[in-house]
Amino acid sequence: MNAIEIKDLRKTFDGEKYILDGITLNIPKGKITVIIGFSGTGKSVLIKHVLGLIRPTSGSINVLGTDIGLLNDEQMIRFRSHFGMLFQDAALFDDFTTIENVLFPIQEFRKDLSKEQKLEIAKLKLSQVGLSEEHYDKLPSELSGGMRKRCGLARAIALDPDILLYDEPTTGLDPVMTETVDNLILNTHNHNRESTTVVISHDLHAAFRLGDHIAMLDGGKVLLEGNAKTFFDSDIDLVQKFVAKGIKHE
Amino acid sequence: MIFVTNFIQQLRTAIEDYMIFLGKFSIFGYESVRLFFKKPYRMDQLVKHLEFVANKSIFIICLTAFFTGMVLSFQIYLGYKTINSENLVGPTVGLGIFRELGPVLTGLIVSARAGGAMAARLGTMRVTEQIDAFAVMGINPKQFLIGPRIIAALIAMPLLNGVFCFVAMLGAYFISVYLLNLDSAVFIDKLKVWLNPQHLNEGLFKAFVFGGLFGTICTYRGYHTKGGAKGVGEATNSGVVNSMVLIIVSDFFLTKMIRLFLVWTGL
Ligand SMILES: Nc1ncnc2c1ncn2[C@@H]1O[C@H](COP(=O)(O)OP(=O)(O)OP(=O)(O)O)[C@@H](O)[C@H]1O
Ligand SMILES: [Mg+2]
Repeated sequence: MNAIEIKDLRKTFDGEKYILDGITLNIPKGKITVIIGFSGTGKSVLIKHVLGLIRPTSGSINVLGTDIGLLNDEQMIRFRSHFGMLFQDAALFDDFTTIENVLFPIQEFRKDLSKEQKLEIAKLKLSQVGLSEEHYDKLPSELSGGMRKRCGLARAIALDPDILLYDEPTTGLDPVMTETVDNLILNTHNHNRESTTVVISHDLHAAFRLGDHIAMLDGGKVLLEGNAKTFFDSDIDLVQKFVAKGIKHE
Repeated sequence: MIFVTNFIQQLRTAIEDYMIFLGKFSIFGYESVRLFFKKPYRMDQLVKHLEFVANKSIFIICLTAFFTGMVLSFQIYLGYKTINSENLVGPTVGLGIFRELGPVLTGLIVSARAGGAMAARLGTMRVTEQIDAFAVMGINPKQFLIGPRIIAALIAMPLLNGVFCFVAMLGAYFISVYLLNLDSAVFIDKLKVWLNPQHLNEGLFKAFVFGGLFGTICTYRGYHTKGGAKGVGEATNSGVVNSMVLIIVSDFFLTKMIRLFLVWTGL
């Protein structure tokens, strides 16, 4: 069972250079899939296609049984409530407090709930990511980088999305923080076994630690996909280099 | 010769680029405003931005208006005195303010103040991916962020123009009656004879158009910011400069069009 099926996806912005050049990738449901690759290989562009933020030049994307190429803009916007996304810098709304940030999607989409129930959910999600009550009324600018990420994650899971996306969750963090965030991803996934998690990463260690399924992009194509063993056993030059040294940060 | 053809070529591409920009920006504005009138309505956002655009501009508008009224009266007084028609200072200033200076200066001031802030705010939201976050959450960012801002500018500008005209006339009255010793009754009387509501309407209409112009340009620039903090500065700068230039240029054509319209309808 696949949550996301990408078929022969191609994308060019200028009509000449294809950033994505025939990507075919299945992302299994209920698992953690890690997408790795050098900087600039189009990982973020790929994820934006899945979210329908960018339209493909050719090829198709099927999410939870819906061909999103057939949705118009307004349907697409509604369809996105299936997704939760943690952005690289959390992308918190900077004039909202921590709790308001988490409350925002709940207020928008759960009009059926009472005020207390909404607050209840927000607090639950915040405790789930380990943010304590003393931080609820702080603005994003008053939080540390790690706390911002936690808050962003709480907001992403506020509506229990079917698919959770992380765009480079640990880039730019120190090793301790990296491990904390990785654990957060694992815990969050274990909390809701039904949900599908997709992580974009530079970091091969994280990929091996988190990923049930790993796909590596290069030159606009999927170079290799499989589990950690596939990557260790691969005799592709580039993959061996990665396994030996880890992916270099650029 | 080559130089000339090169120059023409460059001019052509420049004009073409500008036309394309105008097209894109019109669609952007139209779409955002259309979305504003669709569910879910964003009234709370509109009120918030109205407060920012209108309420917080009042002080600076009053200040500028009062001094504009005074200095304009004084200059016109100096000119008219040489032909002994000081009596007409009031209506001349009135016509100038109501039809031209009111809407144009209000437009320039508010686009610099509120428009610049809009572009900077949206630019920041763009580069920190907050706009994407709205989109990913299933909320249309144009509906939530852009529509209310443009509508706020459209509503606020005529109101602020009204304030500007009123305060500028106070300034004119003040300097004419108390400093230049013109007769107060004559000043008021001439105003009544020469000015009619149509002149004010003309200014209000212009202000409305200018509101739409700077609201759309500044939000467009902010919304399409690229490349980090530097991009935000560029977006703000280009939003404000473009708004100001377009306000002044379109003012000329609006004036012409309004004259034509009046002749055509025989008003
Ligand atoms: N909207 C766009 N218009 C034009 N080109 C774009 C656009 N978005 C991305 N690109 C280009 O696509 C390429 C891939 O970008 P992308 O952000 O997907 O890389 P990435 O794999 O996520 O890299 P990183 O690991 O550094 O985040 C880059 O060369 C970038 O310049
Ligand atoms: Mg990226």
